Order: sequence, then structure tokens, then C-alpha cells
Amino acid sequence: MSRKGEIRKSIKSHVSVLSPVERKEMSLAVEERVASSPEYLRARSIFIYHSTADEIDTSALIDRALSEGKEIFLPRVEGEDMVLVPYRRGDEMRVGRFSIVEPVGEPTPMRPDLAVIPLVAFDRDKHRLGRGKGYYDRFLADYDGVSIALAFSLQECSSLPVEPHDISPSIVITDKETIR
Amino acid sequence: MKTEIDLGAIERNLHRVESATRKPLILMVKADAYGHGAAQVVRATRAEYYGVATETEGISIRDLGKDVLVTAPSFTALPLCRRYAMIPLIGDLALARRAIELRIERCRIKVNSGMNRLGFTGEKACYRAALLLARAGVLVEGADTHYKDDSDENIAEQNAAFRRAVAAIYSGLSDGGSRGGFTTSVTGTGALQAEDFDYLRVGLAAYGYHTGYATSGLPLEPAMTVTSEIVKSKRIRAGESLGYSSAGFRADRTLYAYTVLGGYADGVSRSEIGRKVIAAGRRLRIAAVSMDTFEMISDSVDLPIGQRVIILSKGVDAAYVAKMRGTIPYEVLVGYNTPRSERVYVAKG
Repeated sequence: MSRKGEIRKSIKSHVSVLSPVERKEMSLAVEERVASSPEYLRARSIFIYHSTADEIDTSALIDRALSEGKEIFLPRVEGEDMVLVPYRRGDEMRVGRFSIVEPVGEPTPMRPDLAVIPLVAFDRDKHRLGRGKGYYDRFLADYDGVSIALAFSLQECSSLPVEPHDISPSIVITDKETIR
Repeated sequence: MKTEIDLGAIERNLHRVESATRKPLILMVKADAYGHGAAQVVRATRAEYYGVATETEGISIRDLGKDVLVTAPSFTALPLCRRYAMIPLIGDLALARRAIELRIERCRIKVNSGMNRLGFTGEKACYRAALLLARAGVLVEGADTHYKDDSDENIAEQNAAFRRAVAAIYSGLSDGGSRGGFTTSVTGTGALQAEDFDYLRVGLAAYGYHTGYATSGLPLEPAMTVTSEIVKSKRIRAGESLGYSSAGFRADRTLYAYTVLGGYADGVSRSEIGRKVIAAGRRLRIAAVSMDTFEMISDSVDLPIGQRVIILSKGVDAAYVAKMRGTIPYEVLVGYNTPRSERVYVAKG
């Protein structure tokens, strides 16, 4: 197994022991940090991932942003790319590739002011390790706005291996801190 | 390729900047108004002065009856300032002597506040220039500076340096016996943070792009849209290449590939390879660029000949293209201003 693969496995095992209550509390702490950040407050449109069980839960943040009148875009995987689909409460969703719930609507070619993305592991230098498919790296390569990666603090590693195609987020926010 | 310029957007951007800074404007229309068409922009706007870089490009603006500042006057072209009553920004002692020799009637003094491009550096040099010009009877109408970085946190320091330079120019003019009005101008951030400067020099913000702190909260509208169309639609298989360099793009899977009008002769730089354009509501990647066309690829989007392709607009604006090219929006905008591109002027909104 590659070093990245080993790190993914190790970190996922840490996350898997979190109870649903712990995960919810940590997710709420992250939501508060995001919602009080100047980047979030300034953003009129936000691309945000639809969380799976081993990621920071974004459902409350999505609800909050919609209540505040912000435009929300959710991702959908199409071939090698991830397209952005405008989302409103009650929009039809389906389970897509990788068992992630995705919107079914028409994608937009626009890029939002802020991107909120998931990760599997991070380090102090804001290097990000994803699931290994490269979707978010390809998205970030084509994105010129601010990106915030959300993480449980226990997803931190001392140092991550970095390759040329890996793109770091602008900010990492955990339940304990904001790393800029 | 077709370039559409929304003159209404430029008017609204200027109005927003003017409202935010409460300063009259010097509108920069150099390099054909940053690629937007200087004559059309001047006709559609109302600024106190219009700024150009060279004497030659100022002539057509003077012909429209506007007051013109020449920001980079040259030794050889300076006589045109006298002939066409344009105001040069003098930033060098040799140029000041040349202006006196040519009997230039009006000028402004350019101050170097840290960019180290043009202008007098330091109070002593500013004093000497003002004294020399005043004694020779040249009317020095004001002083101007361009800050090195509009988002610079040390803007207060640059403002202070400019104030010291202005004080030295005042002394020089006074000692030289000059009479007449005197105004100052600075670029964006300085004007916001210093009430005592008279004019705001506005450039990129007029055309819809932020340069830093000064305009960061303003909802600017990019005025330029560049579109084109697909002229050839095909499929390529794994291993096949696109474009005329075998070292260029090589497909690793079967793809849709489209040839779109617009190459480096039209301002689509080869450094745009890898960035996205928009067609049928999807973002598709530029895989190769030649002189007259570029190649666009997709995994799944099947498009016909004649399909409109958006090269520059919302979603793929000049800030985005600049980031992908490793340059600044200015270079992107002026690059698309080519003789072959069809130009259309509209006033939306």
C-alpha cells in the first residue's frame, strides 16, 4: 500500500470510532467557525459537498446558508469531472457513484465565491489528502475563489506526501481551530 | 471570434467607484481602454480627465474634445503634447528640460511612491523639478502617483510619502513664482484612505475587475464578453494527439474533441491550455491552441458545429483566465483586442 493509502486507512479508523453524537458536536463546532469567517459572510454563492458518514456533516451549514439567502451548489460526478448543480430545499436527489447523494438538476458552468470541500487528512501546511480519485483537485485546479476544507481535528497528520497535482485549500477549519 | 463590450457596465462601474470614493475620476483609457475600445468608452462616460500612456494614443481622445493626461510621455513624442494641448506627467528632470525647451504650457508632476517605474523619487527631486518648471513659466497643474500595490497594507506609508512629495512640489512652485490651481491624484486605495487627495485614477475597476482593497466591496460588472463557435466536431481515441505539436495533448481515453475559431492570433494564448471555456452550459477544457483555432475536449458532451462557445464572460472571467495563465487580468483583456475579432458595443441594464 502507498504512503497515502496507509494514511487514509489510519485516519479513517480514527474517524470511524467517533460516536454519532461526537460527530454531530464536532460538525456543529465547525459550522460555527465557518459561519463566522469573513469568507463565508462575504460569499453570495457557495459550493459545498454533501457529506457522507465519515465526513464533517454539512447539512446544517447548507440549511443555514440557504436561510441566509446564499446560493448553494452541490457536486455531481460526471465521468472524470465533478459538475456543480444549483440546489434549493426540496430539490430531487439520487444516490450517485461512490454512494454519495447528488442533485439531479441541470449543472451550472458558473463558479461560486466560496468552495467548501471535504478531506480525509490534512497537515499544518494545509496539504489535503482526499479519497484518491482527484475530483476535488481537478475542481480546485479550475477554481479561483477561496476554498475551505472541513475536518475533524483528529484527521490531522504531522506531514502529508504531496504530488504536483495536489492542490491545497485556502483554509482548513476543524472543530478546534481555523488554519489560514 | 466576437467581442461584445457592455458600455452600460462600464458606466455603472464608474458610478459605483465614484459613489464609494466621492472623488472625481481620471479614467484610464490607455491601450485602447484596456482592450475595450477607447473611442467608444470615452463617448459613453464622463470623467474629468482621460489617461493614456503615450502621446500618439492621446490624439484621438483629444479629437473627442476631452482633457487628456499622458502618463508615459517620451522625449521624442513630447512635441505632440503641445500641438494637441495634452497634459504630460513629467517624472524626469531631462524630460522637464525638454518640456521647457518645447514651450509646453501645462504639465503635471509624476511622483514615484514606491513602484519605481516612472516619476521623481524623494522630496528633493520633486522640489527641483517644480522650481525648474515654475521658473520657466510652465503651469504645473498638479501631482500624481501610482501606488505600487493597491492592496498593500502599507498604503498609509505610501500616502505619507506622496504627501511629503506634494509639499516639496508646493515649495518649489512657490519659490519659482508659480500661480494657479494645483490638484493631486492617486490610485484606488490611497484615495479611499486620504480625503485630501483630489482625484481618483481608475483603471481596471472601470472595466469590471477588482484591483484590491479600494474596490473589494463593490459589485463590479465585467464589461467584455468573448465568444466563438465550433467549426469541427470529432471523436479521438486513446493515444491520438491534438494540435500540431506531438508533445502536446494526447488522449488517454476516447474523447469528444472540438475545433473552435480563435487562436493565438486572436488573443487565445497557448498559456490558456488547460483552462476551461463554456459551451452548452458545461465547462470544457482547452487542450491545444494554434494560430486560428483552439481544441476543446469533453468526456461526455456531444456538441454540433456552430455551437456557441464562451471564451470570456461570467464564470470564465479575466480574473479566472489570468490565474490559469499565471498573469494578471490586464494582460488577458488587452490580449483579446485584435483586428480579426468582430466587435459589438451594447449598453445593457
